[in-house]
Amino acid sequence: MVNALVDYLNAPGVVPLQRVVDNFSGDTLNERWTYTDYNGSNTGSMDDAVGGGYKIVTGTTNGNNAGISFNDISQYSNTSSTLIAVTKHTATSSFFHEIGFKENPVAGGTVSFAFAKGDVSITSNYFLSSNDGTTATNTIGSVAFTTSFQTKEINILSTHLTLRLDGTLDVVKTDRLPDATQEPYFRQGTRTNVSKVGHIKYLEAWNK
Amino acid sequence: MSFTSVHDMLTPPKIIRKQRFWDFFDGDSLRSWWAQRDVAGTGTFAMQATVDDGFRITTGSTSGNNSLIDFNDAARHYSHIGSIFIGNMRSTSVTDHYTITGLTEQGASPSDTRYNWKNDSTISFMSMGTAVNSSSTNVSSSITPDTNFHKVAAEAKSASVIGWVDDILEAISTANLPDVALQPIFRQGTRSDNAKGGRIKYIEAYNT
Repeated sequence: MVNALVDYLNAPGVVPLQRVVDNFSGDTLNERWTYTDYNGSNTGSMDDAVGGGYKIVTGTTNGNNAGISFNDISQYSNTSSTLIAVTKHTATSSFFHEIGFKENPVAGGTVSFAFAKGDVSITSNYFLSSNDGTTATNTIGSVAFTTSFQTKEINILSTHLTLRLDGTLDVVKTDRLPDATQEPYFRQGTRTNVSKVGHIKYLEAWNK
Repeated sequence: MSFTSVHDMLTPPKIIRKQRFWDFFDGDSLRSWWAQRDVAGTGTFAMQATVDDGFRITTGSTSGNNSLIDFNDAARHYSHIGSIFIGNMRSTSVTDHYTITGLTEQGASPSDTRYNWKNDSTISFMSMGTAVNSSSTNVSSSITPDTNFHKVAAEAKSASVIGWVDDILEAISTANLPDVALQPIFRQGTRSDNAKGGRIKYIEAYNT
């Protein structure tokens, strides 16, 4: 008989693996997250609006950006893990928006990652970006930028990565797969001298 | 039956997940997403170190004292015309007190704009309240107040709020419906010069 959350998420006899679920609702961001200004002075706060979740508002200088991560607590596999998030950015011009997995985002420098990205400096469609610890490459998808909330699912496998947008498979990427353990990561940036805003209202990540 | 993720358990395929919140009121301390607030007097807030008793608020010992937890009026993520609230609460007394849980616009203004369930010693039965701009309506259930936990739930729609106690439909209100975005709340008050206690061990809210 199934009567526990763990039983709904794991078949009988299967040992549960690491998982995080965050609803981004409440007075403050849950303490599991570390907020980081990567460039400039930006703000992160709960949005006081229906369905608004947590928001990052960048500064007003080109290149300003900030994000949230687990501050080098990397509990997710670089060969077998999945992340689902519901995010949005409020403009489709002069912005970048990243959601997925990254190795120690707070440290900076060249680290491995696998995340969904919107970046007007590269293309007008969402893409899957990854880095094997040496070089980053992008595989461009077919979905144009939207300012509506969107479900983004990043799947890391040993041979390839996939990106699903609103439940539909959009990108398969086979090169430059991450080479180190990962943590959940969300970042919003501006590519103009105007503030840009990103929202996140759900994130779940788990090992498989 | 097992699910791949909590996301898939609660969200139909291809549907973008709406804002949701839950708290089991377990652990060493209250989660930081709650604000603890004394509206009148000085209450105490603490996790219960006993089996199955959740989190407690105990009021000060002067008539009119009351204390609460909410999102500090800073993250009203839930719609007044499309949301559901579920709480599991109890009162430790049936005299000279009130215990409230539900969704509210301003936690510290109990008669303002809200929908909720309450045990109130001035009303003979557990009742569901709706209010807008300090005009309020109470709909009594068939449940005589006691000191046991009760699962209370309510759904706000565009023209009504429907309420359940222990999964039985007990109340429908079509008057004084809330008109703005809302946040979860649990509140305990005393109507005598004696401290009164309330317990909460589960809250869930989500937009529909």
